[in-house]
Amino acid sequence: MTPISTEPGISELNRTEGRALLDERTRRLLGMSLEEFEAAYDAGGLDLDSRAVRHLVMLLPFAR
Amino acid sequence: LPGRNAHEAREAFLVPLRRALSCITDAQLFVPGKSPGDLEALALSADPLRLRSGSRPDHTYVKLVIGHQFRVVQDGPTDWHVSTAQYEYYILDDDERELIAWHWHPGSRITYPHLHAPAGTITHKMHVPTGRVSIESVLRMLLNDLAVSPMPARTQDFSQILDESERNFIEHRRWHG
Repeated sequence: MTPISTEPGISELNRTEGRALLDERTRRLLGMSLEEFEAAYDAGGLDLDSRAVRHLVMLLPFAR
Repeated sequence: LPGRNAHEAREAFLVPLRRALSCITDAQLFVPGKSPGDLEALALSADPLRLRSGSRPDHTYVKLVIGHQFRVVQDGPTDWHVSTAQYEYYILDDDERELIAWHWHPGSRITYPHLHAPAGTITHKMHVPTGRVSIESVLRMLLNDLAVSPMPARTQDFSQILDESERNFIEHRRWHG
């Protein structure tokens, strides 16, 4: 986690940190690991009408 | 938002935004480590962000969810800006039922910015057209209309901070919607 500015409260996450953040959120919101979430997303198997799913898809740049 | 290089453009976007968020939370703002041109996203360290609404003892809680993707784009040798790719902002009740949501996801079937706000025959599934919505305007609604408490350090100047941050967005946005 690297501060990107002298302004406090903004940090850049590297890929490992980003994947850990997203893994915590996929488990909390959907009860699945990030790997399971990515596999389901890539296979078109997620319900994109779900708010939680859409929000997690928005966060995918942290993992990829 | 403009900069002479990718780092400057990213900072010009993120610093005012974090300052605006500091009006209601001390949550950290995270971004992924990406190269210019790559798709990036915002994440708050508290997600959803739970906020007290109204005064004690009759207060309740609402939750804010921010989804926002962007890219740092090069326009010229020393001319860069941040371009929003899509957004989804939600205000939920404390049981995480959706109260209102502002969306813009131009890659999907509904390409224009819109909101979801069920009311009478307007259902949750309907897309009510809007202009482009700033995060600052959502924060302003939380503070002014939903009586969310500002952070102690921001009780006097939250309105000014939101106005200043939003002015950046208004002056430099490439489209209004």
